[in-house]
Formats: sequence, C-alpha cells, structure tokens
Amino acid sequence: MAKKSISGKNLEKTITSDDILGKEVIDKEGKIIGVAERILIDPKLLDIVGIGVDKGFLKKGIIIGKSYIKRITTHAIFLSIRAMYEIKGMNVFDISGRKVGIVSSVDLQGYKNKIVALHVKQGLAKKDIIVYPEQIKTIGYNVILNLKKENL
Amino acid sequence: MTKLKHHRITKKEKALEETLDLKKLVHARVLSSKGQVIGKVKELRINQKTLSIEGIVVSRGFMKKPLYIGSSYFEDLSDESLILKIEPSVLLIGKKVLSSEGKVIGEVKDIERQGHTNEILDLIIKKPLRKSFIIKKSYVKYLGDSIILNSNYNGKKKHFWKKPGKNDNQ
Repeated sequence: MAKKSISGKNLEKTITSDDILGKEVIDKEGKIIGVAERILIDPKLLDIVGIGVDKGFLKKGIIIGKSYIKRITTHAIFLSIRAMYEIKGMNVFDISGRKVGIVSSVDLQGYKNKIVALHVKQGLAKKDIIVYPEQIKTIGYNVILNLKKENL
Repeated sequence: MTKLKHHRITKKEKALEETLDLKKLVHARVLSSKGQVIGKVKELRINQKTLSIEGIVVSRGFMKKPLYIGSSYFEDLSDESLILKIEPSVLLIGKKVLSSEGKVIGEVKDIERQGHTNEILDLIIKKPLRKSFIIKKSYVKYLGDSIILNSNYNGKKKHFWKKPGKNDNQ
C-alpha cells in the first residue's frame, strides 16, 4: 500500500538508507573495497555527507565523502576515485623495476584523496624514504617511480 | 656493470658497461605496466638470426602456466626487474565480471585475442550452473581489479537448458 507523503516534493525517484547499506563499494579501478555500513548526515543541513565503509574483519573502516561517490545502483556503490589509503602496504619500484621498499604510511592533503607524500620502509636497518607525488609514475597494483633508486 | 678489466673489440656496438649480463636477468622480477608482479624470468629467448632478444618466458608459480612475452612489450630492463608496457590480458582470467549496476555476472574463464597479441576480442565468462558465454570487448567499460561492463550490455538470463537467442549480446 502506498504511503502518504507530505514532503512537498515527488519522492518517487529517491532511494532510502536500505538501498545503500550493505551494498558493495567499488572504486575507480573496479576493486571492491568493502561494504557500506553507515550513512553520515549533516545534522544542520540534513544532507548526506558521506558513507562509512566496512573493509572486513580486523581492517580499519574508511569514510568516503559524497563528492567521491559516482553513482548508487541496485547492486553496488561506485566511486569516482581510488582511495589512496589503499596504497599502504604496496611495493615501491623505481623506474627500472628495482625494489625501493614498502609503503608504510600515506600523507594526504587534509581530508582529501590527494597524496602529499608516501613513507617508504626500506628494511629494518635502513631509514624510511619519503616519496612525493611528482616522483610517482604509476599507482596500480604497486607503485612505480619515475626516477632511479639512487636519485631518491 | 662489470668492474673486470677487458680488451674491447667492437665496431659500433655499445660498451660492456652499457650492456646487461643476461645471466642476471634470469630470475629477475617481471612487472606489468601497473606494477603487478607477474612472476620471474625463467628463460630468455634469442633470435638466432638477428641475435637479439625475441622474448622471455615468465614463470608464474606453482600450477600456473608460464607466459612467453615478446620483446615488443618490454618497457624497461634492469638486472633486478623487467617492466612491461602492458597489462597481460591473460591475467584477467579468474577476475570477476560486474554489470554496470555492480551485479556479479561471472568470472573470466578464457580470453579470445587477436592472434597472439595482447589485444582482447572477446571474454569467455563462466558462472556456476550456467553454460559459459561470450562477452564482446565492445561491452567492456573498464578492465582492472574486476571487469566492469557498459550500461548497454543487456545479457539475458540464460541457463544451460536454454538455447542461445539470436539477439543475445552474450
């Protein structure tokens, strides 16, 4: 039975929280990063701010702002970005494919998805290296730099 | 690079220091253009006439078929790694295929390519309790961690007891 509406608007094309929660969240690269577990709402504007994503057992969740959500479909939520937090733990190679180390942490610009620097762990006895965005050639399955290891 | 002193007998070839020792390349890591570690160099194949490297055989690990990759797909070479210009299309086998709505359609079973090149023509998809079916490359929107199809892909439900229809784009 259709419910009565006193919204002043036609709400037929809107979706509910049930349509969002529990759906898989897929990033720009087609990677399923987790499941939507929360919807964040601005208490003053009553506007959706973003979604909380559960990444699975023993993994820290992630909050994704509304501006990074591309579309919500019947089966999934598509993002317009690749979450840069996902870079943590990736291998870093130089332009010739020599291994530099492993990304130990990622510095982002405020709460944006923009990298400021990557901290790369070289090994137990070695100092961490800081890699800046202009030194990065590709971020895919791993990180490839656009310069040689010795020039870092 | 070698520190060994040597006599040099060359015409227009590069100096010894500017070349790579092929022995070191065996067991070097093979990386795709996006940094995926594909495996290790098992063999270096040489053209007997031109004496140049024709390709490499990549060992991918236990129970996985080795890959023979032609030198035209090489981007960079060092004693530690070989970086490819491409993401080898055969690595898509086993990846999930999602509709534009995010629904799992199946898993890539095989890939039809243009000859032996890396150019994909069709994807052969499998799904439990269903006959495998073909999806044309033109219906693919994105190839990455999973394969996302275009919104114009309208695969009808087909089960193994049904015959394929003429208008099906699967």
